Amino acid sequence: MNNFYVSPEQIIKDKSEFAKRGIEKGRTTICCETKEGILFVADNPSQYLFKTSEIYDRIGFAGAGKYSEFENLRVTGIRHADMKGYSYSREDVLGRDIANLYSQALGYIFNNEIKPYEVEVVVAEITDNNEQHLFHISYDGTLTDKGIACAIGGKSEELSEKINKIYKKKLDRSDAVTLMKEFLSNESSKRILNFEVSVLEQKSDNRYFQRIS
Amino acid sequence: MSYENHLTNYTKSFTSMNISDYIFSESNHVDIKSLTPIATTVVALKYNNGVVMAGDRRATQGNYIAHDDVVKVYKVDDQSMIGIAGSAAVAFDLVKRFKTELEHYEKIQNIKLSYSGKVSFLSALVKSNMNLIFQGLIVIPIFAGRNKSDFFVHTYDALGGSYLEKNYASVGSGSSLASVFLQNNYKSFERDEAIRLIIDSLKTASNNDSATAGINLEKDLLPTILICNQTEVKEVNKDEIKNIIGLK
Repeated sequence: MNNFYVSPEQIIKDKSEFAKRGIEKGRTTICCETKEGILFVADNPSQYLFKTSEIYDRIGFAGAGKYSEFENLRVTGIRHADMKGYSYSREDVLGRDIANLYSQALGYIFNNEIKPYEVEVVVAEITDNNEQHLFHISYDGTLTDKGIACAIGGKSEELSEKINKIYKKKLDRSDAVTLMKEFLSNESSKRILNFEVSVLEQKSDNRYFQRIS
Repeated sequence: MSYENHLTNYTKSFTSMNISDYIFSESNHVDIKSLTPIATTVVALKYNNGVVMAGDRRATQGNYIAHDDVVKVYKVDDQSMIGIAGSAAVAFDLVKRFKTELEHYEKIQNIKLSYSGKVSFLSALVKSNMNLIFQGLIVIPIFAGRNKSDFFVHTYDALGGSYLEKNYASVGSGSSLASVFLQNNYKSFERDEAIRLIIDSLKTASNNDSATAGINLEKDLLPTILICNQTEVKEVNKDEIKNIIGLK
């Protein structure tokens, strides 16, 4: 054991920097609201290891950073949602519930584990009166309700600002896809090989999540 | 014993009579073979481009008709469907659990469970009810659907054994009647013919089985019919059923 005193400020600063560096290394995912619903566009070279996912009927997930870590959160979220929907009712599963779960989990890990999670996640939800929500949860568990668009992974803070300057009104899904792909291409130094596009949109059954490409 | 006491005892045993009363009335010996589901006929039938499943709507408690509009055939996902016979509470729970687990699997794995995966998972669910069998609370499902290329019908026994059926199968108290009817009338069918035949088989069962309901036009009660084809699982609506059997 070391015998040196390290101030709490310093510990948190070090952990934050570590987590931020890890997240910056990753690729970016953009989530935004559209006229039809919610859209996820991810820069993802793999066609099989997804960055976006279904959590429940009207709740979607996007993760950035270390795959194993956000995958862990994704599975936990699905398990929580399915358990709640099974024991109570499908309508009782809420996006902010899942967002809270992630916030608690990430906050605990950041404070109590030696290594914080190097992840950033978004929980997106369409409520039953058709309002759309984007909940952003950062590596230390900070939970924020974002506007109509936000980016995670890579240099996401700057990109989020850029997007929010341009994307002020909801577009149609197809226009939004083109616009977000452009943002991602400008951001990336290399040519993007594969875009993972998925949506939360109303359809005939009550499970809104769909993969487009 | 007063007359009143006698009367209440008499009514109680009469209305709450269920399978356990029959089984345990003589001795404590449990004969597994006699543990067939009470109430219900559910039939599944393959046709040339899919599979159709139909169930009657009656729920009984002993010889009392408790409900006339119960649904016993359910869509599981867009590739499969399940029918149930037996103790209602346990059966609905089985369906709910089965659907939840399959959806959970799909979300975690990012891919649907295969048809044979669903068959063996359902086996395990039925088997997990084993302790209830000895109290007379038995559930027997019938399962049908498709994999990438073919359509299948599977039946189960009380211990969770699953059996692949060739062209058709049925469960419930009226199943032997329905099966005999299908045996005599089965050939290769188009969709509408298959629906007509499956309704006729339920009618045949309802004619002689008191726990199976027939068609009740006065209350507008028709059997629940689900169809699984190459693209989806869909309920056949009342008007279409009436058209097919010539009630309109």
